[in-house]
Amino acid sequence: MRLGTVRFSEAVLKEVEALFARYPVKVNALLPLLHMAQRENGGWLQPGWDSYIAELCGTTLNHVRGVITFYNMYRTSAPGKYHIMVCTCLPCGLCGGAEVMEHLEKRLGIHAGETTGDGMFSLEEVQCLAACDQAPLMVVNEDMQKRITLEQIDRWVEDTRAKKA
Amino acid sequence: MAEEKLLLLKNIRQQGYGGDYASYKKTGGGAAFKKALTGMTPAEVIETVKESGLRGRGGAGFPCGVKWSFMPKDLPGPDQKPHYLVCNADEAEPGTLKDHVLMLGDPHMFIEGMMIGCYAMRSTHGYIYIRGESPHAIRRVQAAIDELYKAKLLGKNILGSGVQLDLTVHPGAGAYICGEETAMLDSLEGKRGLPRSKPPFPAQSGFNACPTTVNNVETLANIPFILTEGPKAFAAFGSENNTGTQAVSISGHVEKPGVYEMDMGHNLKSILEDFAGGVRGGKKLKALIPGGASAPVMRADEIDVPYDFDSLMKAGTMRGSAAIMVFDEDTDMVEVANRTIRFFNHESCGQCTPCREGTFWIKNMIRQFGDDAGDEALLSLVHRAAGNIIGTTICAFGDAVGGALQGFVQKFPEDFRNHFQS
Amino acid sequence: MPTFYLDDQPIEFEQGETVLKAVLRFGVQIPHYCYHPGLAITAQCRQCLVEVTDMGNGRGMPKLQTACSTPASEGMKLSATSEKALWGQELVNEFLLINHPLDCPICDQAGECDLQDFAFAYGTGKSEMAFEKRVYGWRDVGTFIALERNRCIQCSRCERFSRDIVGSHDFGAFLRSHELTFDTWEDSPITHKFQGNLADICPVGCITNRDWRFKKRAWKFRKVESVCPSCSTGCNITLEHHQNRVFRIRPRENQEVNRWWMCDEGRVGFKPLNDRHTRLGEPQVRVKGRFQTAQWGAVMEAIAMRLKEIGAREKQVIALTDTHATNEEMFMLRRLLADGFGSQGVFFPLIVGKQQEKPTHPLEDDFIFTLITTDKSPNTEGAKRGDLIGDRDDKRLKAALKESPKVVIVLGAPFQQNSEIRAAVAKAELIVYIGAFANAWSEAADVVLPGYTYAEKYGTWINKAGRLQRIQPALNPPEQARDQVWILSALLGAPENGESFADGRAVLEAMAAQGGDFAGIGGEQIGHLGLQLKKAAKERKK
Repeated sequence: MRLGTVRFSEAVLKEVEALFARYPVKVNALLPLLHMAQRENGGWLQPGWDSYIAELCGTTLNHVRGVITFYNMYRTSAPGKYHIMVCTCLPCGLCGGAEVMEHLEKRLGIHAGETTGDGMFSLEEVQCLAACDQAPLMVVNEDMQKRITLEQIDRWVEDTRAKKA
Repeated sequence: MAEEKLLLLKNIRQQGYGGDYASYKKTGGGAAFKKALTGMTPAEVIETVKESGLRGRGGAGFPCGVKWSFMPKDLPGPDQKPHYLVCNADEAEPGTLKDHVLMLGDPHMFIEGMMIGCYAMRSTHGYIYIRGESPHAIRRVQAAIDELYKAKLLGKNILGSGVQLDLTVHPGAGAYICGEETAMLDSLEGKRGLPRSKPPFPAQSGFNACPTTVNNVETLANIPFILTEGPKAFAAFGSENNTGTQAVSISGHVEKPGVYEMDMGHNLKSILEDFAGGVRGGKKLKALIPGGASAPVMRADEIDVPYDFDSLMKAGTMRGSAAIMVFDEDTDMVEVANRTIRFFNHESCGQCTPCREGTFWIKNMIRQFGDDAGDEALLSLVHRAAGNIIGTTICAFGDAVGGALQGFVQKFPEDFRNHFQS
Repeated sequence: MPTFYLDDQPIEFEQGETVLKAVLRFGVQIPHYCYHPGLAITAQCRQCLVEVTDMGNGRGMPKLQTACSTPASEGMKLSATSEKALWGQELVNEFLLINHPLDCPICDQAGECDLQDFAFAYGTGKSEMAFEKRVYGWRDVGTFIALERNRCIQCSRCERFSRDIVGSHDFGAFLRSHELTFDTWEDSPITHKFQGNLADICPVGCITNRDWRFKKRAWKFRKVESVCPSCSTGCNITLEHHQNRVFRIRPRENQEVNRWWMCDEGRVGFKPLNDRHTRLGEPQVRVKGRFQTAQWGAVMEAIAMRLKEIGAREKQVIALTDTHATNEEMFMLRRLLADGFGSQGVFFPLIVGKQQEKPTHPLEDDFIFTLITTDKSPNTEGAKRGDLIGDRDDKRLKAALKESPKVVIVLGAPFQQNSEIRAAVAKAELIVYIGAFANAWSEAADVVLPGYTYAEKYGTWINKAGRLQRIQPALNPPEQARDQVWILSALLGAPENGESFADGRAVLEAMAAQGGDFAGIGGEQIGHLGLQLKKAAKERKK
């Protein structure tokens, strides 16, 4: 994609201005700004957004790229329509999180970090979602499914696939 | 079941409590901020918090009032740097969920504490750093702040006092290290979250190089009570050097995982048995980690101790952010060590050599045990490498990794030996 | 001055200084990588761990501290050699080598590598790491440097340099944990003119100079202090040579001139020195339109005879010099014309140098961009102060040429591009060219006298800010070449007609004795870092 071809809509730019107003310097708003860019673009940062955002908050391209690659949540490839996060960290991992992850990988035929061929599901292994008392859990987009069982997962995958068909 | 002591969760435990400003006000909320703003000088507020003995609930347990008193006393004039209060709501320590419960259930309580803190430290803008993985918490806290703006309790000339205060929710983007206060400030500045070398301390040079204090959600949630009921009433809870109540998160192999509030210094064994209903499925306890992934593990026979900062430190571990993770008799501690080091390796910011290279190396070594290819030399190497990360890095993350890993090796060598090459 | 104690050795420091800075100035080495005096302090490599046994208040610090970030304080007691401090230094070294390829035998940095040196001095010499190391490929990341990330020790110097000093932030920090990498992006190669500094500050062989990749082992180099001839800033440099070839020019720290840096234009300034095609090796005389080589004695005799034949005086004799000439050569040229022919006509091309580069991003301190000027010669200021004649459009030279001078002496390569001047000079009866390389003037000359390059002689230049700096020989000149100052004194008829000067140092003594800007100045006053001269007399009057 050519530089300069990506940009926020006028409505979002107003939101950006309001965001900048809450920080002493524009670059402070970099994290929320990148979240905004992802929200507006199907959950990921297409090529060109890094330099557009750099320009918006008056910083260097490599600063923005450094930030994007430092944090887990910024994606530079498209997530599936249903982005699934599974915590496999200490309490969750030992309370079934690891099995949930393994099961999903088998069921969807992808590894963590990948997206199914039809673009329906993407799978991400994450660390602690601050719901350790509800383990094991699976977060689909923003919806947290607590104390989930493997049967529930199967049903959910089938239902979701059926919905599309 | 033991009775909870309710100070932080008193509203949340009420059936049908809405968590909005109207409900909060009905329970007497907002009075503390009003009292501070109209009847106390900033110095008096700080003195009151000092007297209460409140210690930071984020992990290090530093006295909150003392921390506040490090901030410059003068009023920031036009040519001086502004002061900032940043609320650490990143809560990414594995096993910790109490701040989430507070933010989702009763956001106004800690926000009021934060407003009081801003007044006391003459800060006109506070930031609440909430981890980006928790959109619900972000929305909830944002909604609470919107309510306060509507009620004219935030903005310019609050309650006719001439005081100005703005609060902003700042979303993180997935980095455990941003829970470290200086890394959080970097992140708030729009940078990679790298812990800073101290000095300078944040109270001299924090957010955008201005005087800044960082407080945990739970710490701030205690402030309204301290102001309305007085520091003595607060210190009546808990024990001498560990005053107040605490919200403890329990997860892992227990009957009733969740968040419970109790006195500081409540017996750890009692927390497990009386609050969390004991080990799941009637099994025996093998070990527990008392303070999040960063705390060294305790064996079942070691847990008959008061649960507070000082007692746990004496026991060779730490209270940290009060996240108890329980492991039953079937648990393989090599697997626990494996998940712990994978987490730490993933979350190291990478700037300090010992932590960057050490977590990578130890992860590989623990994996070798997982493949049943360990031996005595490798075990002592894990111990040595872990020890080499302790005290040699910029932030406490290195100490946490080293301490936690050494704990597993020291306390459960037999579990590792089960994975020796036969 | 306040004092602290490192292993019982008292070390004085300036208020606000860190321990490492004071220790390094004192001359003791504590191993370190991320610390660089010209860059922000991050204390991230952790190599300079020391034990603080007393903070100056009787209390020690429980943890080891990095010397680079610890502020020095009065009465502080530290140890860099205690058991605990050595433990810290060793373990950092061990961790650093975990992922380092140890490919020293094929690494250009070997021999001048901090990691190699410190690992040798402070490491344990063994590794217990039994897993596969990180592996990346290598590639050229700019016009001047190559990147081999396997060797990177994540010290972040390159990022801090490109972010804070140059501002373009070409080197960024990406990813985190053991994947943390300092790199450029393929879609944005480095284009600025300060890339060579990245190779200098990289403490290992991760960023290396493309120009001498695999050409020479670093320990073979002989190093001579000199001054960069490529513009009027006069960055302090070291000429690094072996077997009479220069392989590299590197900046030499001088806080008053170039701090730690120099530009890439300057770094390639050694290339002509190695040029054997245009180098003049023997005196030549034009006989019937063709050059013939000759012995020095015969040539000088022939010139003397020819001068007598022509009998030119005053305005009939002029000299042209470029501003690569040293002050000493300019002095001798003026003396030759004045004493030999009663002429004042020594002309030089006047270039008013301006800052050439501008930062592409806002910078707190854009010092490095002031280094490159548009005046691509080192001694314009010397020519001005030496009362040589130069004006903006060469009006006075053109006027002098209208008088049809009969004898023209050309030193170096002045006015080469100006065909009008070249044509006018060509009409003279005798053109004597003195210089190290063949050029348009040597082609046009009747006599060609081979001189020395700046890497073969003693001399001084005055930079744009009026700083007098010295150059000195690094290479051996061709056997039949002669120092320009000797040639000029010989032309004056020495020894019969005055003094003969062996080299620039002797001329400087004569200049010092004569007074003016150089009164009382000798090599010692100039020293390694040069001498700031007072404003020129003319300027002072204003």
